[in-house]
Amino acid sequence: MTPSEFLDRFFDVIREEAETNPAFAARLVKAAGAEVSFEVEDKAAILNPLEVAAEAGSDGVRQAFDSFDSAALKDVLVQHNLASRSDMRSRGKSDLLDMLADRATSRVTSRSSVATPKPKPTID
Amino acid sequence: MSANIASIANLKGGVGKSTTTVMLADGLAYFFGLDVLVVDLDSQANSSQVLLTEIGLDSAADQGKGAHEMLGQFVRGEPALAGSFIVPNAVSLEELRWAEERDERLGWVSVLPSHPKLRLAEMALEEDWYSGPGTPSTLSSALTTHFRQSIEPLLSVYDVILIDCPPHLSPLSRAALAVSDTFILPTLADPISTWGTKQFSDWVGENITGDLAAQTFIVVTRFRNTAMARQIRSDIQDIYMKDRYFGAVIPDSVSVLKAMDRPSLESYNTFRGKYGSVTGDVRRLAQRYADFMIIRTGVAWRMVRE
Repeated sequence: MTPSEFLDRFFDVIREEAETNPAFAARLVKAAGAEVSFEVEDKAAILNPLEVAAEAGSDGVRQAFDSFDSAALKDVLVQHNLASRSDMRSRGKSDLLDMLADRATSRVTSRSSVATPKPKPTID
Repeated sequence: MSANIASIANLKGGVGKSTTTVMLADGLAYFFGLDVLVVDLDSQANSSQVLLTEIGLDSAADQGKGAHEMLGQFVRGEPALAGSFIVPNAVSLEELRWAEERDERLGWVSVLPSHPKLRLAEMALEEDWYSGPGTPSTLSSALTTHFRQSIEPLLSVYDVILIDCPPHLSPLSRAALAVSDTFILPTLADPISTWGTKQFSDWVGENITGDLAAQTFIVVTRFRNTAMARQIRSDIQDIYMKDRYFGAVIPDSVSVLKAMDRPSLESYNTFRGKYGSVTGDVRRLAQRYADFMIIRTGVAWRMVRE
């Protein structure tokens, strides 16, 4: 196998996996630091509500997940351990979106460590 | 009937003391309908965090609840009253909540939570005590008396008091060990933890109780079903601690991690929803502890749920 053939096969495997596995594709893109747009139907697999909450707060979460239907919102809540099935029983889309926004924001707030910058000591 | 006081303790960190505490609390409340009080004396506050969430834990501290407040009474020379520092509702299981709403309580979990403030309070107490004529022994003795008086009124209110101890001999944890009826020792099935568990167990036998074998309940936690782990577990049970009572084995499982991460203080889950693939393991843990209690005290708890 020539170097060129090896690279072709290597990247073919990566591309094939990325085409069928949006979560994998998102991790690759993130590692490479690229800006990429994903299809709406793939966003459910890759959007992290905690990451959105950390960057854009409660309103950002509502905006980012507004296009999701109830079933997709429930999947996100369960996937990130933000709600039990019992919690979501009989809840409509609006309630689920509120729950996602509130709980994601609360979790980020309670678990994020913020380093408070201190002035450098002066030498007398 | 007086409550069983059990310390969940091991000086070895990361062996699953808090996980064992919460699982046993849920298991005894759910399967046996017991009223369980979790007393968290570890300033890392892991079992408090699991039961109340971080926000609930901070909220409890803002309301003047917590083990650090109980220590404050001792520091100020006030009467020992632990009851006012308890968060009465630390239930996360739907079945317990439904029964309560129908006025047919069948198992409950309350918590006297910890908080990181506890470590600072202990350090200040030790510094103050030792700057005078006080010694570690006199502090331990005085705190044991205070702690015993604090929980005395609770013995007729609860069926079981589970004390989650820190991975070091703090003044409060020494007091907790001194008043305990039973010692629950979580351990990993690895050589380092085995030796650490022996060290702690020997210390308890030399300093706390002369009846260590009869009072000890060992739980192997975070168990990975490898040949080596099975061999070490067998060695612990059949050789190193063969005179102790062995409880269930808790597997190293994603289900355990998820169960210990309560989504919100307003979140409830069914028992099977919460524990998933380790539902059977939590049941076995509770059943084995109930069997141990029959042998230890003659008291038989009746199963109320399957």
